[in-house]
Amino acid sequence: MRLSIVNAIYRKEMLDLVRDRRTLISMVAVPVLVIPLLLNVSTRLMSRIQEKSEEEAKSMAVAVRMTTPALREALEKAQIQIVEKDDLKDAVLTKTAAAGVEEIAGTPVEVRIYADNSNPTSSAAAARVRVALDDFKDEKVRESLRGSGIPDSVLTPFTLKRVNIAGRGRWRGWRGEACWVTCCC
Amino acid sequence: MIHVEHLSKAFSDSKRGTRLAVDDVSFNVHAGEVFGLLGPNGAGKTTTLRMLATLLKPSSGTASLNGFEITREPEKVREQIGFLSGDMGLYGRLTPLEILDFFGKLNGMDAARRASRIQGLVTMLDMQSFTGTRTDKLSTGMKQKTAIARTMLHEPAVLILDEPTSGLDVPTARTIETAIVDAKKAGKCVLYSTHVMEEAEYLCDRIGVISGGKMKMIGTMEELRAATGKQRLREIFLDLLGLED
Repeated sequence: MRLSIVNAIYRKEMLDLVRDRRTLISMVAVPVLVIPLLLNVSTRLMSRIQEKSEEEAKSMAVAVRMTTPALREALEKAQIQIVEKDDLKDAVLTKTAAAGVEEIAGTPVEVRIYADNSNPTSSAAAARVRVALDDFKDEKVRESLRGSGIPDSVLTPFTLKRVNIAGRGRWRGWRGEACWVTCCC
Repeated sequence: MIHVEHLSKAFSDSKRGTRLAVDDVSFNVHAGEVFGLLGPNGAGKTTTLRMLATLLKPSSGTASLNGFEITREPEKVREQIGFLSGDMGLYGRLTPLEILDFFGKLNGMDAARRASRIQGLVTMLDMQSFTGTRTDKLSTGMKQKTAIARTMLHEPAVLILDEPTSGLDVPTARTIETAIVDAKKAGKCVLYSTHVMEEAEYLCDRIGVISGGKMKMIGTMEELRAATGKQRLREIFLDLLGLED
């Protein structure tokens, strides 16, 4: 087929296409307007659900079964309400507690956090518990180091910082090489 | 120009079985002649024309247009013909000018020839008032004029027109009849199907009456009159179909 015929058919099809309101709506208006709008709405909705879950997680109690008072104090220090339960999993699944924390004796001691990941409130509560226990664990490590005469700085041999040096124009046309990671030792 | 020999077309479907739409039809049409194919609905007129336009493959028989055989050289045949089908096949979102320009390009016409030919057809078919209007907004007559212009655009040697004046008012039909007469004067071979007896009587040099897929009779008006003993084409037509007027 001659190129001029291909060109004529292409031009005719384009002309036909731009005059077809229904095609234009489905090809241009939907991707440019409707899809971003739906994405925006769904992002906002997800964000609101997350915020609401976090608020609920703060007000709901966490079921615990542990023997070490320091662990219980660490949770209370993080303003987490705790309640004693025998069956932690059942408490989480029946939503009488947002999450469950169980101490299992051994060396080292294992702390299990029970969460229902299908429930955003439970996930948020489990995340709060984890942060509180991580802080407590770090504090315990620091205390041990101090007791052995080792400075805290041994836990932080360097800090990591990422700096974007791309200008506005380059940033639009993203280039991998424009990103640098610097290590400050 | 058109040479049709023992052309047949059978259609098969599960409900009705095999049906012979065109049954052993033979005729010739010469340059500068208008040949009218007359027949009732379902007689096989459109099937015959579609086979000659290479849109349908014959079940048996052969036909050639301007020396090119329809099954062996369909591309060459298409270059020789201008075919007007019953459904017109226009692009609704394009204007008549855009449609004509597009088909001119498809037929390999250069810009100057396209412009002059389109101008000539627009004038001949009295299309000046609607050449810039989208085709889906045009009346049936305007669409038919556009379709006729598209058929004649590349000055084909053979014109195959399937009921070109069907459903048109008298002035529009007259414009189209004039275009057919002009094509004949220019030496074109015109094969033409119609239901309108007066039109066939006025336009056609020879008429073929087809019914039930079979060609009942071919001849000039005088030959048909002599063979049937009837005067008017309507009477001849009904007589050949075995019906009383």
